[in-house]
Amino acid sequence: MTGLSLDHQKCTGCELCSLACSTRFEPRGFNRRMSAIRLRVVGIMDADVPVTCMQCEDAPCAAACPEGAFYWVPSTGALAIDAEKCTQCGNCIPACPYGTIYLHQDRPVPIKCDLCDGNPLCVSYCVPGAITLSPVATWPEQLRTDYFQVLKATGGSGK
Amino acid sequence: MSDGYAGKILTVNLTSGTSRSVETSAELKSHFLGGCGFGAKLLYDTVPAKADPLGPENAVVLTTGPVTGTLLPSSAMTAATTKSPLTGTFFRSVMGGVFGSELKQAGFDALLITGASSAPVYLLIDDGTVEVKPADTLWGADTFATQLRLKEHLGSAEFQVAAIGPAGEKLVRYAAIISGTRALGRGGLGAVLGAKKLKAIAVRGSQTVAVNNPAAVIANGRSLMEKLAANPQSAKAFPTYGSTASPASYSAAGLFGTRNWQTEVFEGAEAISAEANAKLGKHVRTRACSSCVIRSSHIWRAGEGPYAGLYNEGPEYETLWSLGAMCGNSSFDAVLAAERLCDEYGIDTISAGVCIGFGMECFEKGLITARETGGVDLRYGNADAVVRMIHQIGRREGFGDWLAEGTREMARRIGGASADFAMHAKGLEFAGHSARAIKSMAVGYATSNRGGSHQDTRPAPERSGKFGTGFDGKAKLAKECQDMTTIGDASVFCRRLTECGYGSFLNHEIAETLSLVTGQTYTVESLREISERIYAMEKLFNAREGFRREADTLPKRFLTEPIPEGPRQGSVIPPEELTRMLDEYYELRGWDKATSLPTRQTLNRLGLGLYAPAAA
Repeated sequence: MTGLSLDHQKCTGCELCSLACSTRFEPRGFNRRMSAIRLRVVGIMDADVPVTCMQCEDAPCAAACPEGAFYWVPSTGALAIDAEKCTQCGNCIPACPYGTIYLHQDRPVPIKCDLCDGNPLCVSYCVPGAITLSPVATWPEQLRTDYFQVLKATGGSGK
Repeated sequence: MSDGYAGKILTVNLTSGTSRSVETSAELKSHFLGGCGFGAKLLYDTVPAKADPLGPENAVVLTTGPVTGTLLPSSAMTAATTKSPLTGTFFRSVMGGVFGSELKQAGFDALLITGASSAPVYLLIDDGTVEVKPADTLWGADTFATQLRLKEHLGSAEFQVAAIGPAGEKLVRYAAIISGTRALGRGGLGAVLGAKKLKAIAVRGSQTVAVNNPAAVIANGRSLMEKLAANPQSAKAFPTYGSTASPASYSAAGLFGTRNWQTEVFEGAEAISAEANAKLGKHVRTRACSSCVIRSSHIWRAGEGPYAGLYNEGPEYETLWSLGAMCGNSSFDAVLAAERLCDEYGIDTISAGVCIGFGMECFEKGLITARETGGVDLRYGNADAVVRMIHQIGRREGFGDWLAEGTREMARRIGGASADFAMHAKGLEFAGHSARAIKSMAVGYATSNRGGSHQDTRPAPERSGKFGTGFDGKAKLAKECQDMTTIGDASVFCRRLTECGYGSFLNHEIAETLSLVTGQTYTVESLREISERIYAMEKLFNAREGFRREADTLPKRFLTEPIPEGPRQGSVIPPEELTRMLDEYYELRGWDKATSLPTRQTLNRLGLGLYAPAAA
């Protein structure tokens, strides 16, 4: 199972990941609120934390979907949403423990990271190298512990 | 419309607590581009002549430009204009961060704030919803606490907050507006908001920044990023330590204003520069504004000693220069502490440091004594006094109440010969770029519509050595720099992006970017015309206030006291050379040499004929 590795210690908070990601959902231009990866800042300057879907094996979002619209894409290992099946009930959004599924008024389907067909745009725009394509299980232990701690501090740990 | 613009201009009247929005007209877009261009036009049309900068008639215009909020690098900027309480002139200031993107995504190209509230308020803009809300409980809070408390109160960190601190509330004439760690720093915008009792603006937006040719803009952004990666400044120097590395090289080159420009070599330059402090483990991490790959912002922490535990984003070159060299202060940690306080109180670090440095010279020369300074030994090198004075400025306590007025007013109060070495143009304290060594800066400072600003004419071209050290051709150089910086502030692009990605002068590359975003066909010529129009509009604002050629000058120190030592020893700007450069400059702009005002013919050429009577 693959996913994105997020090193908040390398992140500068530039949001180019968000801006680039939004071009996959918005053909007309750029929109940080129409993006599957977003920046959370701790305090005024204490940490810049990029957050996106962890592609959980036992995904709570998929479990919360009454339509069974979530499916695994074999080629990328990403958990995706089938637009045909999605009824926009919104159950998946609070179900995500990291708060990384989003609704936008101009989109028919919730916005969630699907790893861009295996070659994520955010990775290619991340100049400081904070985002890499590798599963959460392979993160260095310390990074993982720290990361989820800051995630919690920014109010994104759900329950 | 997919032309890069949000499409609406929001006007808020704080006297009545009402707001309305109008469409951004096609004419405004094509004539003034955006950002500071919109700001110049809206300010002129809104603020009556001779308005009190701290009265309800003054306005603050926060603007975005066509590139704001796009994927183009370093494009998440906010430009602000107002009538400055420090200078009495037109003023523009620009900041990074992400506030501009948020305002644009909320649907606004410009936010025009007029009137004044009787009680503290904050402005809430949540997409199209606009409300003026009470801020009694925030009044008195520092800028960082205000931002965090408002976000918490609003229940979402998605809101971007621009706030004033105690200094803005106390009408410090160079109080800043702070958002995140970024500042609309110069010219007293914070005091104007303070006078309006507007503590903060919280904005959140979810709308798309639609551009004319998205695929081409993405490709253009990519090629800009490649250029930045190939430029040693943007690829190596700025990401490593930002401009914090610069004091040492400026001083070594002999153009590092020290102790109120009594010299331009500072013995403490190495001690306050990045290298020495990074070696001591004080560099914490690197940050960037939204959409920026240059990442020139750095967090530093203090070492052992009185400031242990303290950290801040910065200080960068200008602050190290003003709170360091200008005050003869070679303690990096004291500069860091003073800067953090400036950010929290909401104070421009450049003016603050220059005012303190000026006070120190007056103190050492006996023009003021411990009686005026409240017992503080205000001598050069007294690092603790620098930090203490920031508190006093922010609260307008003791001598800080004088310092809070700026060097021009301080000199008026102190009297004697102090005006000869009050280092400002039109009331705005100079930044850390030598007018004596860099001749284009001399004419640039003298002609800037906002006073002693280093953001109109830029020091880099002449410093590169390509234009020599003499006076010839410097008026043209100054003007051509201004052509580019004005378009940069209208677009709105970060200065570091334009300089590292496009260069110091208007060129086809920036015209192409703007064309792809807007769908208009821009050329170097058409951009120059827009730039000249914006600059003339600013000049007309000053003309209406009564500023004429006499105001375009430099303090006596730069005109009569040569740099006493170092590689640039002997450099000075003799009055006759300044006169000659100014004559040349006005001619290049099509401005009248006697008055310095745009001629009727020039105004007609720029489509500003309607404004001709104001310049008569």
